[in-house]
Amino acid sequence: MTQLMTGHEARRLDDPPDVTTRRPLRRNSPWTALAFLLPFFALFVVFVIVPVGSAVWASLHRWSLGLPGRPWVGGDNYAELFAGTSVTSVEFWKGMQATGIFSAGSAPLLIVIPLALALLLHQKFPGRTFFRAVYFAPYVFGVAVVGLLWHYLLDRQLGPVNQLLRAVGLPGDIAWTTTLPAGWVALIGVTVWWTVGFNAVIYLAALQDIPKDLYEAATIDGAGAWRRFLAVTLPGIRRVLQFVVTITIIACANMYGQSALITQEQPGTDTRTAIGFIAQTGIEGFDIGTSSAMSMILAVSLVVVSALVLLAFRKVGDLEQ
Amino acid sequence: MTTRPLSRRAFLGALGLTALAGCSASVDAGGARDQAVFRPGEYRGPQVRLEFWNPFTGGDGPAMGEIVDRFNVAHPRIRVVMTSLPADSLYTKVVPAVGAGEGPDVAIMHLDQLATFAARGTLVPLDELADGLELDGDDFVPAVWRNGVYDGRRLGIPLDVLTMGQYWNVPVLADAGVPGAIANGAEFGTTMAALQDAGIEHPFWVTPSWQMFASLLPQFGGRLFDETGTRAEIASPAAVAALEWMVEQISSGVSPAGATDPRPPLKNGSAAVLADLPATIPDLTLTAPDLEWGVAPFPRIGPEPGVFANSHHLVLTDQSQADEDVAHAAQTFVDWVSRHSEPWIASGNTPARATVRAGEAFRSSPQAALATEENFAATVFLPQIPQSRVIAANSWQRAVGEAVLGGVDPTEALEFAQATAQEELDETNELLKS
Repeated sequence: MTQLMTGHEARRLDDPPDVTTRRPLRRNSPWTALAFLLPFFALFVVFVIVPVGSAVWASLHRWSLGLPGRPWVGGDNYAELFAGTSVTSVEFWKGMQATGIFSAGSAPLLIVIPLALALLLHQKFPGRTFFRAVYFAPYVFGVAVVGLLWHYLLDRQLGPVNQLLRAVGLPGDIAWTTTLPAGWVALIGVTVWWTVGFNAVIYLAALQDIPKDLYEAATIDGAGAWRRFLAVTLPGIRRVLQFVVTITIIACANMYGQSALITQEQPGTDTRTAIGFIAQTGIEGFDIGTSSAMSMILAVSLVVVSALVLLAFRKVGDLEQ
Repeated sequence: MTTRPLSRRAFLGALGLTALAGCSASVDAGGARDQAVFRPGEYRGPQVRLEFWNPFTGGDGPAMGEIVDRFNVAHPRIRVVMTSLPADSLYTKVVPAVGAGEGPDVAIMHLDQLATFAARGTLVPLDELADGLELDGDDFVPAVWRNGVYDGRRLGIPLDVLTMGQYWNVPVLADAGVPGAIANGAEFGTTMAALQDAGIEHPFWVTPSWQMFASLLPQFGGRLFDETGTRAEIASPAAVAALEWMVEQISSGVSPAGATDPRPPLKNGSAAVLADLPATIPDLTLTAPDLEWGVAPFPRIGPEPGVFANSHHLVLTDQSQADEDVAHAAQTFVDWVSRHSEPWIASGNTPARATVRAGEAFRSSPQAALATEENFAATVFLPQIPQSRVIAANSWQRAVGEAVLGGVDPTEALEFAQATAQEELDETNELLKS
């Protein structure tokens, strides 16, 4: 044991801390934890609390950038959006709907496919590390690269995707970037291809944490592969699964770049997401008040969805116990 | 040991208050100045630095870089630092950047954006400056000069004019036995038929090009807004006819459906005729050096002349007027660039000044074919309406996309666009009044 100790550890054990010159670290004091959390909390305040607070404040004003005057309008911006009669509100809810369609299509795939992939990559087989890298590789691209790349790959007339489909005798005349529902298939497909590796890596780490003896015990008890998955794997990764579900839904709901670059929000503005319309209203249209109100509605919707996910996982956990 | 009795709740509360205090700070827009003050003569003061923003991120960037380099050499006391940003990015950043005094002193903006940024106090009117520099429009394309005015005030000095044009593959048209430039709708029909007979399945690709729609609209006798800028006229019979013409090219098979990029098929020979802006010229020169192509004004498809036009304008921001030296140097730069825009010919655009167009450099350029008096007279600029691009994106430009790509009936798409545009126009005008 002693020979395994580093010099630093050995010295610390040999000389007890000098209480007279240096005060001991007060491990049990709540201030210790707070003091260590403070640096990050300062960043959190500057980059999260203050911006969110500013957005709430802005959403309560009629504020158009560059115009004099910024009258307090209370909940008028929200009332207008919820009334759903003005052009802005109709377009916003259309964007929310587009976000919903995209999330409903891509989140389940991004939860299930990476799990299946992680189970495969968790097996022992030659080339395992290579395949782990291959599936993660697209994730390193930025959205601009992915967007431009697939805009060309999916082009109806000139894109290699349709040419490949034709080559294997499938209908190769699909307008992936300009019609619905093909546009959604394209956006969801590209997003799954792009981010599948990220969730897979998280699952993989969780799978590696499940003790092997649990599987051995289950096998001895006569459990088949499916039973082992349900009884050992899923409960073993429950916390991680909850985390993956939550961040995946949030990431899907924040989709913007893919529809801005791949489908360019066509046809018309049908693939313009909530974030796309918020950006257009606030950043291009300088309507800070209304766009802040939209952001708050989107954010609160995401909080509600996340809370539902949390509750659902608790419910399932309770049923199991 | 004594611990100060600061409870955890109080500690967190104090942090929260600090955060809220931060929320109330925000950037205020400064009051816009009435006019940029004219200062006689070239700038001769101490060394000064000018920030110059432009949207020239494509083949036009090096051409503007050349002009700036020449200016810097000729003016050792002024150092112009050029920043090229994608147009969307420039237009989103310029208001807060100028408001904070960290933006450009001089910028290039599209003519149709002047009202938007004048209304927000980002631009400073240039009437006195233009008078002082003795710029009265005489040397400029008249329509371009006339349209750089919003609310009775001049907001920019035109650098160039760009119009929708037609580009064609010379050998392919020759093989099909049809002459180069298409003059009108009837010729368009015969040319397309001849090209299809010669084996070009889709000779002319129609994309959701709002510039094409904005060219066809005046040809059928329509306009987007009335002259007061308060009424939208987007669902007129002329507008329906213009949009129907675009859709017909797809339904008749002249164009494939679902096309979004019209230039690659011209370059690779799958199309023979293209309607596009002059940015096509440096693009074809650079990326299709073996293609033999021609260029001419956009054909007159409808009964009247008309072609979508825009222009890059030199503008001064409100920020430039805060410092007397910067203001004088900025005036010197704008005046000099306007008079020495020869290198700009490489961008494919047509210089706005007749004296520059008279030079050999321009007369031997491809776009000289677009610089005819007839084409200048046919130009139709988007009207000076604040927020026009946001309104357009939600209304008529979107209707073009819906009809061309989404299969929506043109009348239906335009009627929806009309209602949308009118409401947003009313909202904007009300906001500006209040």
